[in-house]
Amino acid sequence: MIFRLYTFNFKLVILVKKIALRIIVLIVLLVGMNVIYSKFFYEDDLKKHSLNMFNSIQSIKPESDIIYLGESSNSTYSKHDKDKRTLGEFVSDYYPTLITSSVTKKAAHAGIFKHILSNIPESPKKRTVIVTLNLRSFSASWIYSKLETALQKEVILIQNRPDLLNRALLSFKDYDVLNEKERVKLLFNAWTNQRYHDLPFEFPYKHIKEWDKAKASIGIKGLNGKLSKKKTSLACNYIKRYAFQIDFENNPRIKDFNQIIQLGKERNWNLVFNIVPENLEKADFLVGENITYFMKENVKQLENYFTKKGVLVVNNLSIVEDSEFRDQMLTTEHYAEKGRKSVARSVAIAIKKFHQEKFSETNFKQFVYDYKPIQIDPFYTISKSEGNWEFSNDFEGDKVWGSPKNITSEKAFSGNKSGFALKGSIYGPSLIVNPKLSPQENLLGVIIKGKIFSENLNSHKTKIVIQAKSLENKIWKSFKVKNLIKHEKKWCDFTVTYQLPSWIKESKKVRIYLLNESKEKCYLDDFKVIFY
Amino acid sequence: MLFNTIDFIVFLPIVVFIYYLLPQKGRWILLLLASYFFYGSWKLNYLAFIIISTVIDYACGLKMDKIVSKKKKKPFLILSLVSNLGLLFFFKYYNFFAENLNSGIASNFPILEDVILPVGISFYTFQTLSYSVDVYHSRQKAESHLGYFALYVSFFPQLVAGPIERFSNLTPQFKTEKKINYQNISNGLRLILFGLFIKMVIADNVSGIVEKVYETPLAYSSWDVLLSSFLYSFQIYSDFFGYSTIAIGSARLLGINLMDNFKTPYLSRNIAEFWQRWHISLSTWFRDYLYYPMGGNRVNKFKWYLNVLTIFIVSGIWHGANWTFIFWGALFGIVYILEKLASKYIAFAERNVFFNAILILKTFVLTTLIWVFFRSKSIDEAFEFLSRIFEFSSQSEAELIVPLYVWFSLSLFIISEFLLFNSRFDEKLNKIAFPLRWTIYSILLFSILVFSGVDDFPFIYFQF
Repeated sequence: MIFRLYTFNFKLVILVKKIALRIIVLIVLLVGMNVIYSKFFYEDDLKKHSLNMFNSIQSIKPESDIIYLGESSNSTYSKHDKDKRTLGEFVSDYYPTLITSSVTKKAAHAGIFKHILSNIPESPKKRTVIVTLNLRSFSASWIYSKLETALQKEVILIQNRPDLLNRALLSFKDYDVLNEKERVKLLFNAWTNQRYHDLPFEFPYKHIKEWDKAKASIGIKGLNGKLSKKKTSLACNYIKRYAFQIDFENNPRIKDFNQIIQLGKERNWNLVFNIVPENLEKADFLVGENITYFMKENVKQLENYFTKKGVLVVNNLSIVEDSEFRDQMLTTEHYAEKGRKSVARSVAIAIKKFHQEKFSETNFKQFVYDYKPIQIDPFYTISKSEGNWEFSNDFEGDKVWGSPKNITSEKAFSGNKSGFALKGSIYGPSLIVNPKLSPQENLLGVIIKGKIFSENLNSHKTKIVIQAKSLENKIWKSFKVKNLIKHEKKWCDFTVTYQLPSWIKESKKVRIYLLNESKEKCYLDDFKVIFY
Repeated sequence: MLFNTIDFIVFLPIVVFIYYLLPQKGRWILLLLASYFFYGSWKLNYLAFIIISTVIDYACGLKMDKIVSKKKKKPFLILSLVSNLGLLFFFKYYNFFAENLNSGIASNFPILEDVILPVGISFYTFQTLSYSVDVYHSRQKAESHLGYFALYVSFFPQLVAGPIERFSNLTPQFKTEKKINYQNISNGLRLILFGLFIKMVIADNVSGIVEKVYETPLAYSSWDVLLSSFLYSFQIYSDFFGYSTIAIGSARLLGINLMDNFKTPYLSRNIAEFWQRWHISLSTWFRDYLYYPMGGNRVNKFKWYLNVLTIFIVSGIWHGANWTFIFWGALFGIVYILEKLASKYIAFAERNVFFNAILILKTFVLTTLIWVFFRSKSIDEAFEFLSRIFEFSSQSEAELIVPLYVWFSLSLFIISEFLLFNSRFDEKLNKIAFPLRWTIYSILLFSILVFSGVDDFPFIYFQF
């Protein structure tokens, strides 16, 4: 390539002379514009385009000893919760003499946290900074999520550059601008290009897409024994969101967390990564143990990786049970009160390392003892694809379930007969089973369904009862019929869902029956019990 | 790569700098590589279609050039038309036809879900078609240099949304040595600045406002819906005019003059004039390659009506595969014909300033109402929107809020339209003294940096 520098230089000199004044004027103008913008417009822009980010940063007390930074897992609560405070605030209960700031930035991840953290006012104190580490945020589903655009846009204005430059970058859309089709394409590529490797077991699928496709074609059965689209979709979502192997070289979240570590070193923080719980139980039920292998293995690797870098990693992956997950049909990290308090306790105990003398026990044990688990809407209950341990009785055949005296042909929803109970013959149809005979490895819960005809709905004395006993434990759980159905003197559907205790397999029998101590008859038909 | 992104702001100066460093014989290589890079940054695979189109048209052009007989030339013209329009049909219209045929005659054409329309395919297809047709008619000598021809098809400033240039205007400029010229650089930068202002400050801010109303017109009062329809007129104009202005400015930095695509169209007194001022490169294309070959106005009245309607409907189809565009085109055609029929009765008005203003207002209102079909996703949606306007209802569940700075920038733009009537921003500024000129630059620059819309609204015409 021949450069015509001789003519070009000559022209350039003329041009430079001609534009020198203009460049100076432009620089002066830009400096002036930056002053005007900072003084009159920046704060408004911050509130307009980065309000959540602005609020998150503002909510951090400058004198904080402990900063808890989380996404929605920090603050999402169940409407049944008595204490609706954030997870970070529960941590602060263990350190009442320390100043704690609990910051929530919904849908955020380490790539956003790093910007919030870099905006925290510096302090001479050696702070403890607890950063939520959400396993799902390492997945392609999250990395290429459409929420990313809004999040990336929000951080532009708070970056450490001249205000006018930040606004200019926002104006020129210097954020992750991808349309829906482009995102989907990237996501599909990630699902097919990332091949499984080094698995300690035989696995028939090469990548997420293949596994997802196979699961979708097999499907998951619902309570009625038919394929359930919603449950199949949930199972596939578990695969899409968790069935990956973290690439420590290229995963953007790894880079983000490493930048946080760097920042922590510069600011002399006690840095803590809190690996928040995922619904392993549901993942296992819907997809099987292979999915939990991926979840546990990824977390194990993350724990090792960041521990080696001097971070205190608190692994809470499996400490919250299924019933404490608020969104039963979504793969979220939204916990009810007990779930949030369990994570908080685990984190609080872990950071005793930094604040041993300030630690103060809470009433957590009493809380757990008194805690009533949430009644999960039966629509959302899980059902194993292999089939559940199910029992049913329409009282037409030989199955009696209790005393034959409690079967009548006075009324029936289907066929000619039904079961009943009333004062004097208080035990209606009863299913008695030995949990040890269950083909399922674990019995997590039971669903009781059927039709009830109640003469009087005002009675407190008519109940569906679940009873079980082992050597050390027992349960006697009742559900008032008046709360299960809406109309008296009419056949009504009812459904009861109950989470069984972990020792249930040790008990010799579980009895599920209709109990009626009132004077009015209560009939039961098409009785069905499903253990899952 | 969009014009209003940091990527382009980095890309353009690099290209311009290297361009002037290179000798003339190497410049086409740089521009071609830059153009392919520019296009490939959207989707590398689709670069193949430009290359295929280039090679076919280049070969057909050479073949036709060597043949005198039109009859013998015809197969090559057909090859060029079929290959170019075939690609365009496949990507842009196949699903539309399949869906309509499937529902109309219960056929079972498969719908292609994953087809993404290559950016700017309608523009470069028309550009190459004009070349083939011109060569066929011997109005244009075929280009023997594949590089220059490829550059004509893909020249990055006007590749994805025009102006649709003719070979005879563009290619000779590539071949002429361009020396670095202060005036070109200055005018180019002015146009880019002005184009960015109208795209980023006006169109991008108005887009979000208009979008909300179009999503749920029934939630807004009739006045708000009417206001949003007027705002859309400014949105689409500033969006496309902004793009064209940046394109012309970018080319000007390289010493290349592109044709003007807009000349204050909303100051037109009738629809005919509007189309002489709006998307001029497309209007003239249709005129030269469709309207004239159909006989133009040298036919009987009925045929002329048909010609006019055909042109407008084809123009509608060119814009998109949707009945709304066809309806939009047809409406323009009908209004065009009606105005022509009425022209002799209102000819006196065109000589009077007051009546001129009324006519301009009438054209603007008509155009605004017709744009409703262009903006709506379906004909039903368009009628729902229009019926909401004519309900004259003040009841609303939502309020249309137009921020003060949007009104301010819109006012500036409207004033500039009057000031720039029949002239161009860069040329107008030449006549203004340094302090005032720099005051204007400062206002534009500050507005771009501080008041631009922050949401991503791609150029509307990219979808065509």
